[in-house]
Amino acid sequence: MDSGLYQVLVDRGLLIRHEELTPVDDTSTGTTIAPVPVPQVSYPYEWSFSEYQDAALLTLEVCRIAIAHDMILKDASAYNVQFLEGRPVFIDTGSFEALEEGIPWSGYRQFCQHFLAPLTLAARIDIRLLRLLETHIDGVPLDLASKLLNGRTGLSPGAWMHIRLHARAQRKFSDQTAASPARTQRQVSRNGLLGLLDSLRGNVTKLRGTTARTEWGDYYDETNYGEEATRHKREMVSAWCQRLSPSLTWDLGGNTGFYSRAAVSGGGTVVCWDVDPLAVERNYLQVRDGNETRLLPLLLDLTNPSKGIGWGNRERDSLAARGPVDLVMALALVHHLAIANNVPLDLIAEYFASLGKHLIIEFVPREDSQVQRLLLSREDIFADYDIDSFAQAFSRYFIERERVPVSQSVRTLFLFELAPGGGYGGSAINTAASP
Amino acid sequence: MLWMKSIEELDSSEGGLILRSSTGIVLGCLVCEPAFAYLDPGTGSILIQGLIAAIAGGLFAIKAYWHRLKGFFSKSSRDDSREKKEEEPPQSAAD
Repeated sequence: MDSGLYQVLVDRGLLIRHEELTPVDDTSTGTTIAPVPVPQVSYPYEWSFSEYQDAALLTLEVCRIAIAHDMILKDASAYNVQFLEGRPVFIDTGSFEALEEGIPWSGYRQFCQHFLAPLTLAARIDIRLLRLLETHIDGVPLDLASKLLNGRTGLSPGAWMHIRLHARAQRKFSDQTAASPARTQRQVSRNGLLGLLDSLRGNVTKLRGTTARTEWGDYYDETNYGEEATRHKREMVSAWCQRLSPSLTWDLGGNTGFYSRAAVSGGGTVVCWDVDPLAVERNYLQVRDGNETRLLPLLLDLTNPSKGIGWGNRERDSLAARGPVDLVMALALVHHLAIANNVPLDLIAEYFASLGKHLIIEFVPREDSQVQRLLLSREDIFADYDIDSFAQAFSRYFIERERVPVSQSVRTLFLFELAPGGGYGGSAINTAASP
Repeated sequence: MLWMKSIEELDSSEGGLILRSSTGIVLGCLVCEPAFAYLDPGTGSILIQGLIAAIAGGLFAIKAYWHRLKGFFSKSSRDDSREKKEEEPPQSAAD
């Protein structure tokens, strides 16, 4: 605080603002701080390429500014970054320590594992490799990254050094103890630290996410309903959100955020979850370019949602553990779950009941051309897939507040409110869902 | 071992330190046998950081110097053009 670093970082929107609850004095050993709450906690494996890249650049910039104030980051965990008002922000105020001349940056390995390796793998091999962080909580091991990158042409000298050579060095010196003379002799000057950060920044900036067409990236260009249906649906979502004024909304399967933007009119924060990395990427770029502050695009496979990971499976929360939220939206989604993924309507209703207090959901009937398309490639074993079964399944957990046929389409919008005692905790769902 | 020799040189010499240590460690790492023990990746990270920081720090210093040089020349050329402009009467006044 005294170095002026906190003020500089907060003024530039790089560090989360906090209030000191107990002031530091000569007698106390520490202080208690209360940071501004982040409406939605997200994890690196839920970020799109550009969200991840921006989080990496933020970490490097925070470290560079810290060095200018004779401080340094003592770690470089991707979990130290959250998204607030459309931008990444550094949240670990306790990560700073005084810079000791000549001492190497203790966050270097972590930065390579948490940021550079996954981003390089995503850019050079496949965007889906960003999800490696879900199985490797302390970042992608560099020997694994190096193996995956083996034989890839066009790897920049920087990536080669920071990942491949780094992995080789780790393996080579892995039998040295922490107190080995080699470790203590290594000196890194301040200029060396700045050079290291500059090199990492250059390497991260150069990386480009995939531009390959994915299944959902062009969804809104390929919908089967007309302008009037879109307008009506948007109007209904907007009206219901204004009525409910949810502080946090989850738009499940929200694609590039068309209806999430309608939901923003409710006044709160809207998280647009989607399974398609390209759709999430397009959405984030729109948020970033338009300085949108109340929309957060995140990656989620609803058929296999983010799990609780880390120590005791409680270090990073599952999706359900981060709920329930005020409102869940599931537009043009139920047929994908029920037909493409064989999830019974009752289990869909049960899971949604654990996620939110209100639910806006669209029923897409069998005669809809999108459903017909799904049925073309599979045996039709979905005899009970109709609006009555749907309403009945959801009425076990919710109270139906409104039902509106979408004009000029065969679809229907429902507004549900969680019935008293209708919500289920994660454990109840696991029990019910297990065979 | 090639890399060990290089580290000894690193301790005992000052001139050409970066070049020698980098060559040694780079070559050492390239010829090293795969070891499957997973003990402490931190040591290797710190050693390689020393090497990379030495190279990157050098490049960073050159870059900073180059920017300063460029800034100096663009500033002086800006100053020249400003002086030139000041010397010339404004177009409207000339008309």
